[in-house]
Amino acid sequence: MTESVDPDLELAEAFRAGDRGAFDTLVRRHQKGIWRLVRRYIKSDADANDVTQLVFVRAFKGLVTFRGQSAVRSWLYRIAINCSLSWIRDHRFEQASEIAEDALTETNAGPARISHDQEGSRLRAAIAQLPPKQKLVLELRVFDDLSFKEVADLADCSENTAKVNFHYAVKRLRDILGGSRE
Amino acid sequence: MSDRANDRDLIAAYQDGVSELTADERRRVEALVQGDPAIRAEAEATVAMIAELRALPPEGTEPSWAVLEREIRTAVGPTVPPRPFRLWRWLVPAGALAMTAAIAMLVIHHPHDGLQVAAPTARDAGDLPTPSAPEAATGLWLDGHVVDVDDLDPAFLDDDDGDALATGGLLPADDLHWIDSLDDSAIDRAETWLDKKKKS
Repeated sequence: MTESVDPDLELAEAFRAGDRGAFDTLVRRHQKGIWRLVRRYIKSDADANDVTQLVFVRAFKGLVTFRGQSAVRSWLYRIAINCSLSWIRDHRFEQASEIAEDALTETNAGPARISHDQEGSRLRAAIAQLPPKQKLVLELRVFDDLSFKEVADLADCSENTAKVNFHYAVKRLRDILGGSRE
Repeated sequence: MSDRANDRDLIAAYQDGVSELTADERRRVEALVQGDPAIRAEAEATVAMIAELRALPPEGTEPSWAVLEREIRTAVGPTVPPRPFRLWRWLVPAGALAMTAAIAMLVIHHPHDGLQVAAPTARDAGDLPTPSAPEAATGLWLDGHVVDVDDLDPAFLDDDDGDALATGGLLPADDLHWIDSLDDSAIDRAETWLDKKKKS
């Protein structure tokens, strides 16, 4: 395996040197990934927008002290996970009612969309049944396209543990979906 | 980690379709997959599962990225924040310096009463000039009061048989049997008197 150079490090250094535009480039590069990550935690588009904004505000303040111990992307994703979890803690009850509303809306969708959504919903429901660590590793790997090293950084485990968790997550999903498809 | 467990991790990484294996690891996994139909079937099912997951559309309706970027730019402001002064780096040395300075000030301005300069030794005495100023009186701290021992008659100090003690107004040191004859109430009264005397 080869060690790749962090493509964002140069931007982080430019920002620390006073280049404000470097941060805009980082935002353009990562806002989509951050939003999707946040949206998996927070079940409302508008709230996901707010939390994504908060993530970048925190990153803006913290980037001057960023020491490059992890990739900039991992660092941003960690802020995103922390902000999302903190938001969930603060809005526990609102979140629960929004999920209930989403469920009602989905039952009123058109017939063509139902089968596609049903398949997706089944997959998501299966992912939701995974143990938290396996779920985190699987989502970061599959949906966010992070390397196992980055996944390990964010999941606070070794690279091998991340791989093992990923392996078991996929196996478990197959078991869950295999059972429901029969 | 055992070879079997290691192979399992390698296969998981390989099946994920991302090249994070060395050439050797890749060859090993491919040999495993080709050589064992059960492993091959397992690998194919896993690859299909991962492909299905990757094909899932993202949750929710994505916002306009240009609008979100503009909102973020407005929220963070136009200027790069200054690097914070790392206070903790200076805290320990500054604290140590302040403590040293405080101790030095205390020693210089409030020397302890008991501290005395060591008397010159006999060898040094010849090198030193005879002090012209009178020597400071030597004091003893006894029972909460300073007693100036220089007031005592030298004959009193040289006396070994205790007669001088008697003449000094103190109780005779060699005749303390009378203490045994005191009863408890007398001792209590004496202690009360001593306490009063200390307080006054």
